[in-house]
Amino acid sequence: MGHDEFHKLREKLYDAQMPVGADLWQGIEASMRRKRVRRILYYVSPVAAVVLLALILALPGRNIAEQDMPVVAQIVPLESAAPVEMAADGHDGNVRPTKGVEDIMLAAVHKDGSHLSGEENLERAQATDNNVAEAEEKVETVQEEQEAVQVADKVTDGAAEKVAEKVAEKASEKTSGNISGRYVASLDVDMADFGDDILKERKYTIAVSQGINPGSTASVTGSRVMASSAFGGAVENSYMVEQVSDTKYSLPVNVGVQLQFPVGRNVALGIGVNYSMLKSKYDCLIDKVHYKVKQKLHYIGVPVNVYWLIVDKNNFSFYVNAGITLEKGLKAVYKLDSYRDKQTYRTDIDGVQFSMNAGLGVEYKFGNTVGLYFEPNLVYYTNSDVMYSIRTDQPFQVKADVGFRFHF
Amino acid sequence: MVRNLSTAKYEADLIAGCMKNDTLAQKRVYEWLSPRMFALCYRYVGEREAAMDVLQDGFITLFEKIGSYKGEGSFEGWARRIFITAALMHLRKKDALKHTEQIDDYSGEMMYDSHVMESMDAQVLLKVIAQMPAGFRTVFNMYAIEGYSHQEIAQELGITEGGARSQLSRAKLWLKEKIKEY
Repeated sequence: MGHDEFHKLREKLYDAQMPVGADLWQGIEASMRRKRVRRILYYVSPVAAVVLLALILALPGRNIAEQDMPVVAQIVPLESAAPVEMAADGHDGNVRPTKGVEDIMLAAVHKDGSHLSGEENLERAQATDNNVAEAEEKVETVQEEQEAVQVADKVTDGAAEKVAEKVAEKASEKTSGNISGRYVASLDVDMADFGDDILKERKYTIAVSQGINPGSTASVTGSRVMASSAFGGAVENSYMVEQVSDTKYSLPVNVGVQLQFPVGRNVALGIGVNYSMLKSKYDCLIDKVHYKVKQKLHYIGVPVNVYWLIVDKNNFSFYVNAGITLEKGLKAVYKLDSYRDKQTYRTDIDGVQFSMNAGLGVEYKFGNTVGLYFEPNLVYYTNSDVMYSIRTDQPFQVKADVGFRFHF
Repeated sequence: MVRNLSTAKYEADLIAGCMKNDTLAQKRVYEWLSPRMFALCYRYVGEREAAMDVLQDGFITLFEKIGSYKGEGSFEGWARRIFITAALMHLRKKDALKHTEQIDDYSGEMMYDSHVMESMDAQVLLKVIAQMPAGFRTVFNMYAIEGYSHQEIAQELGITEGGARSQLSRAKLWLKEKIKEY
């Protein structure tokens, strides 16, 4: 078979046609639609997750109060307290805006020097186990007061009114004196406990962590034409570099140390140093030569995070965090393997990788000094002028840090 | 000439439409290219169903990457390159190109009746080529139909030039035997 035969064969086959099934276009259209939806979801879902997380974080105080102290929350609403005071002060029988038990409590707590609202005090007071018994007592008192009001309403003659007033006064004394007094005592104890918890968190903390990044073991499908700068200048600019295989990303290595110190009541600031290594491999054509490429990128970064303690109980603490990380690439190493030869390039990484993160964490303390923590976070990596990596292919990632905290 | 200009204009409009993700323009491009690209995919992968998959992947890639077509060279040539890459990726995934090991070069001239081949219908030839083992079918397609040089084939497939020549020799021998049957 000579060149003439090849030429004839080429003439016959180069433009040969085959009928395509009618449903293929629908398949292509559907596939492209799915890809578009996936792309939208890819960008929207992390945002939705962050919004959801924010909503969850906005609720926990209320939820905790409701879950821990449902009895108090239900039995001491302002409405039920109002008639008590009306009965206590309302000798003339007029109904007017009144102070409720919670306001009395607020006044009591203000004596304590706290600037918290009555509702917050109530919630915090309710956050202790002792309050359940007190609440039950209070139910009885309120019921007594309400009965007194009912008596006062029904009785028409003066003598009976006096009797009712006496009963109401007695109940009022109980409300404004005994009960609020008990609440003050209770709140004092609770605030002291809470204060201790906060003080515990005000210690300096050093954390050592190892990052887990489940999303980074992904295989990203598809080929692409890459700039020769993809190899950090290792490949001549005039060469066309085309990736011709999927990219397989290995689990990144991520270790770090962080110093955490308190900046507010239950807020802490964490600053640290971390090291990351990103590994990937793919096939590409460089100036039409087929290469197997192994890429390693080394980064060192400074994460800055704000931590907000939500719950600290029974050695467990639960918190949320948000922050940023600036990373400087140290080195990029490429191992290129072709049928001709093997080459290794080392290049510097220009630019700075910026990322934002938000998430939550849980820590279990072994005694007073050491704690084991798990901290899942949503991370967004900006893609301006950085090396090809999992971070450019999937800028939104879920990662988790596992580590030890040493509290000093 | 007028017709050529209008055809070129039509092509340019379709490409511009595809760049804007216009579904109608994409469908027109599909209708325009799909019969030829399907035959190409079939030649490379040798199975109708697999060729359909490659064709689908190729069109999706084409529409995603159409922005990188700078108007240099024919659009069809650029598209053909995408479908060849898609077919080679498919073969690599199935490890079909792993066994393109170097074999003894058969340098002898294939003596056969060229009239037989000339008389064969393109569809029949396509089916015959599709039956070739994947290794030398790929080399044969790239060399004989697409017009790649041995060096280019070697570079693209990650094999030596000698390996590419050997594969082609085997393909010629195989084709000669098959054509004898007709």
